[in-house]
Amino acid sequence: MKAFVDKVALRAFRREVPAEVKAALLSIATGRTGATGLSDFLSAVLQSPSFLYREDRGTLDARTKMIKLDGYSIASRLSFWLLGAPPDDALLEAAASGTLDNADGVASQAQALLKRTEASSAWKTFSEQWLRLSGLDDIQTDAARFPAFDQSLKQAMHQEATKFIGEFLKPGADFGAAFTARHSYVNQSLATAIYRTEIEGSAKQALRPNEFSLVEFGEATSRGGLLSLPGVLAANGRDERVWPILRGKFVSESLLCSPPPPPPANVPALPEPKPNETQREQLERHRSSPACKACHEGLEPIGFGLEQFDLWGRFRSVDGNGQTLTGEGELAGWAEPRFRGARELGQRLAKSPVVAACFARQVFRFAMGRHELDTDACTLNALTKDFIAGKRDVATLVTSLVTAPAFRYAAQESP
Amino acid sequence: MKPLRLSRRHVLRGGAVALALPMLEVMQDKRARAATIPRYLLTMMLPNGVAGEHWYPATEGANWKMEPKMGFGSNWLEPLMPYQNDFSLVTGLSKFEAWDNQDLAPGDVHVRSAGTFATGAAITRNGAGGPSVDQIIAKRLSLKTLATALGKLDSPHKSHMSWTAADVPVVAERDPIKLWERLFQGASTSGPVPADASSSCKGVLDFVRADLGRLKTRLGAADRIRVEAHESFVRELETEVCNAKVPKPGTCSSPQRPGDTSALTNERAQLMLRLQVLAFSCDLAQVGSFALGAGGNYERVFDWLGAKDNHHSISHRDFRSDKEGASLQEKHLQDQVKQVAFLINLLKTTPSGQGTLFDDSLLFVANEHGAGWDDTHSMGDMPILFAGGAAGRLVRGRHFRFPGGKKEAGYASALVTILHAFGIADTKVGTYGLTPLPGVLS
Repeated sequence: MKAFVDKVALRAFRREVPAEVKAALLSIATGRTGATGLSDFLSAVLQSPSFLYREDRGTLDARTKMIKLDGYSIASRLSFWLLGAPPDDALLEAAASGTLDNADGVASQAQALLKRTEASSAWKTFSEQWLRLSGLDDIQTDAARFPAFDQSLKQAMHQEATKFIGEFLKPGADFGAAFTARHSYVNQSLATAIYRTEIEGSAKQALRPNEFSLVEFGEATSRGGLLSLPGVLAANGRDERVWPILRGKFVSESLLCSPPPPPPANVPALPEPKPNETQREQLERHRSSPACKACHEGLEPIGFGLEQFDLWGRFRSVDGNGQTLTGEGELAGWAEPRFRGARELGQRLAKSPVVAACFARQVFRFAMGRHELDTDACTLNALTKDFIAGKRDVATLVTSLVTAPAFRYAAQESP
Repeated sequence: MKPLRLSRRHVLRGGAVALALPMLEVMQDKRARAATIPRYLLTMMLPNGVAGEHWYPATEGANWKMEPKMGFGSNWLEPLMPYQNDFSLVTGLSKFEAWDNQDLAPGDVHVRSAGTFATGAAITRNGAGGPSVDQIIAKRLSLKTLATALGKLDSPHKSHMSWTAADVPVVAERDPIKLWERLFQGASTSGPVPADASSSCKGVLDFVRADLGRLKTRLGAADRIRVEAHESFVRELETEVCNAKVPKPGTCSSPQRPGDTSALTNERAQLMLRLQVLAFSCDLAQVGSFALGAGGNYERVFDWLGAKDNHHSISHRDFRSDKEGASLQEKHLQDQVKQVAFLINLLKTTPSGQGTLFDDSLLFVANEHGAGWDDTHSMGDMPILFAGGAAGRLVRGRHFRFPGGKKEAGYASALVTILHAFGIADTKVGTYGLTPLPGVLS
């Protein structure tokens, strides 16, 4: 029993457990016989602050006046980020042996974790947040307009998106290609309900209901990269009236990290559409007011670049009134602002240092569990530089972050 | 010098006894610490009306005095007077929407109250006609909600204050023990409970408290106070829920059977409020609603006031001709207001961030009716109270009296005011809620 109690306590608390704490737990575990004693023991362990809070402990570094985190704290940081789970025995062993006390040791542990299979599910969680895929459950429209859009189709769209992105978040992959790759992973229902004629006959024939198979898109289609993924388009469009604004907001917030300021308290409602007015014209009219323009010029001009995909991400060449949709869009403030369609936008974003810097920032937030502060500017600059120099390989980004002082040290809390 | 930083994982549900831990300052993003909107919203409904045009104070503005306009019921607000500068009183507003759907149960005015309390929408055959403001706020700001109530479940119209959409109520938890289990234990335990469960529960809690103590020594001063408050809260609850409140000695999981009148005491109401506030301080919920009993039912007898009859029947006695009835009614109102004072005090003594939960909260209290004291139970001149620091948004210490004639400047405007306090200015409330009450927010 003692060995069991000690082992569980170490795994649950993720650090060396003091002898008196182990003794207290043992007396709870043996206080009642059999399974009830074990249940008391687990109940005590699983609601202890030591289990529930992630505690960063370390020692004051005289030179930097920062707290240098101990091996156990580093092990937790690495494991929760890269594997989405508490550290396992091997990692705790590494912490105990001092391997995680220097930057090189931390970097090689991180690279080893990245190769584990659990790493892909941690990146999946990251992608779901980064691409806001939960928006799929929040689509505001008349269900009768697209009855095939049921729970299982939503799940398929979600799965397609994370599988596609996952391919570019692996060591050795080029993250930039996520914006341009001309393929995806499609099952039968996605092909029938969403891609329709975009997938050729024989490729379509080969698809199965529950398998996501690699499908290459022909030159004639407008698909290419994550901005034409149905899951991303639908989750970030959501509302028939304002989808260009919302898709633009997604690009500017999640991909460019230049969110518009929050809307003012007295923001007026959108103007009602006039007869025979297109949605583009309606929103342009709204944007012509100087008060609205300041924020909205960075939003729907990007969003309209994705207009060739309807609310659910199905390709269309005309709108509901038969008007031709060209996908003309504009990246306000860029040297060459104009672009046409998702593929061209993807090509622009793939090469952009702004996108690389934004991605590095998103990864920083996910890894650290917090937003960046002003004092993190140097770290973020270094991350971006390393990421671009390393051919946009996430493995470089990971090494750069885990060896940064921001990851291995913590500021002192004021007393 | 405290070499410690914390982040937080989801509270794990399950196990024999389970608690949640408070949100600590050290875990928060430093920029997020400066709030501009309140962090918490609690709405509270009192049943059975007040004294119509006789209840509200004659003086308006700051430093208002308690004397009601027509000299009756002069001290029923007394329990709140120590907190006069912590809230504002809003009077004169009518709940027009409550009468909009005339073909539904026209006789029973209680059917028209809970469903309109926070929705501002006319009732439907199955319930409220739209979402309530607490749910609108929760959805928009991605907050977690908790609905609680005292007393049994009645028709949907009478039972639910909180609605996610038209006809979709949030069913309030009415049993403090189940509430405790739901919040802090996860699964509800049923079946036989071992005789030694109580002592093991104590052993487990002792261990957790010791671990909290170890943690405490490594925290900053503000967090230390927070952990200490949490420790004592847990100790109090342990006594109350595990021991005193259970019919069978030695168990902490047999919930008290709701439904018999003696159970609907103020102690029970206060226990519910304590759990509600604990859910806030543990960050298990940020938006709450509480009904201090449902209107129009006969289950609550305030026998501690010497009442022989239920509150609802007493609320119908004519205070103008019936001296004993009038005095009883006044005592009942005062007794209800005491629970509001209890809540304010509780929020003011629970640490949160740099101050207390009260600083971060907006509290909206209203009765289901205006006049309850004659046969009409009117929807005119609704008594409303806004309290809380509300992150500096609320103007407090005032009596605002509004002319109540216009539908677009009625009760629903008070609900719009709640939305505006939370930074939501683009949403209409029910039928007539278009603009907030002028002057109530800063």
